Amino acid sequence: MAEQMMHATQATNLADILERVLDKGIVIAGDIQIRIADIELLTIKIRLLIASVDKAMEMGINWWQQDPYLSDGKKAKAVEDETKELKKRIKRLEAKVK
Amino acid sequence: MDGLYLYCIREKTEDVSGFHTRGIDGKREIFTIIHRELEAVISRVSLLKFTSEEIQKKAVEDLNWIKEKAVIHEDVIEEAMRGADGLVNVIPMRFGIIFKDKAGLKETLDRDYAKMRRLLNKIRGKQEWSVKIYLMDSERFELMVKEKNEDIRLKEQEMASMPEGMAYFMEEELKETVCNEVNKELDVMSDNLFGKLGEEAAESVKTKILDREMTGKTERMVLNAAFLVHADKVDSFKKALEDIDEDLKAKGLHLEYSGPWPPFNFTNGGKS
Repeated sequence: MAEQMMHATQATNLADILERVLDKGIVIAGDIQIRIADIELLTIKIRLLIASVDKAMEMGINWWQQDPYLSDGKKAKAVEDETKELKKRIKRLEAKVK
Repeated sequence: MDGLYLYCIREKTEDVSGFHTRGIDGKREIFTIIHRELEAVISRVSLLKFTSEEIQKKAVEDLNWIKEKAVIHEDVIEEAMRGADGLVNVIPMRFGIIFKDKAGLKETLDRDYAKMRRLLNKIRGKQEWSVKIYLMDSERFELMVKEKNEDIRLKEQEMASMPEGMAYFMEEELKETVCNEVNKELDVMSDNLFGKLGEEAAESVKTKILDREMTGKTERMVLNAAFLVHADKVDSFKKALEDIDEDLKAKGLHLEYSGPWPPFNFTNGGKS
């Protein structure tokens, strides 16, 4: 059957999943019901998250960009430096062995 | 002690092939329990863990936890939908329904049996498709609205011959008018398209417009809808969607569709 391929037509958006799983679908009375955030609460939470990062940057709080373990660019540089250093040490050791 | 997490209820199958997807806890296997003509798709979960305050907190606060679990929930239902000879009718559950034991689950299936059968009859041979329309090029759309609107055109001409101070106020007023007209036109257009597509479907429903935070897109969503389409009409439905999208492009809009989805939007009648 042609329809066996799920969502083959276009890329599925995570939002499509969230709006269904969190807000739709039947609720039958189980023994336990986990109360999960609905799509509106989720939107607000994401908004706050984005706002807080933007706000922090605006106020010049950007320590995570300097931290090599949190900032990708710096991290790459740190790894690169370390690799260079290690290569040098290998060369020195090789020279000694010869 | 273990409980049973319920993903969906489907029409009884003879399928014994088992599931590949792991359960909601990321570890346990998915299995099914047959009750009369119904089959409940479930996996075991630790009751201690899933009733803990930690999980309750995560379910409301932890975005990554929510995303991860919602995707598992959806994946299991999609797998339950895929039968050996085509799509199986499923009634998808809302996230987070857990039973203490099989007896409790069977009791509930028994109590809601007529309702479940009714829902399965309703969706038999049909598929849920998602349709979303986005405003990609607001300038182009605005231009189109302006060109069509005699009133705005006249005001613009009038403004050109005004002294600067007066023109300023006129411009502000005009901006507001254009904004209102754009929103009105978007509403009318999405209503028309929703109605037109609805004729191709057994049932249709408008769902919430999602904010950019949710869609992760910079473009504004102007229509969010779900359609329940007969399996033999899906091809012509998709053709209609492609045609509409072609038309919309010229107006600075774009239509996105996906499916078949578990019929989340057409089985939640009588929800609490």
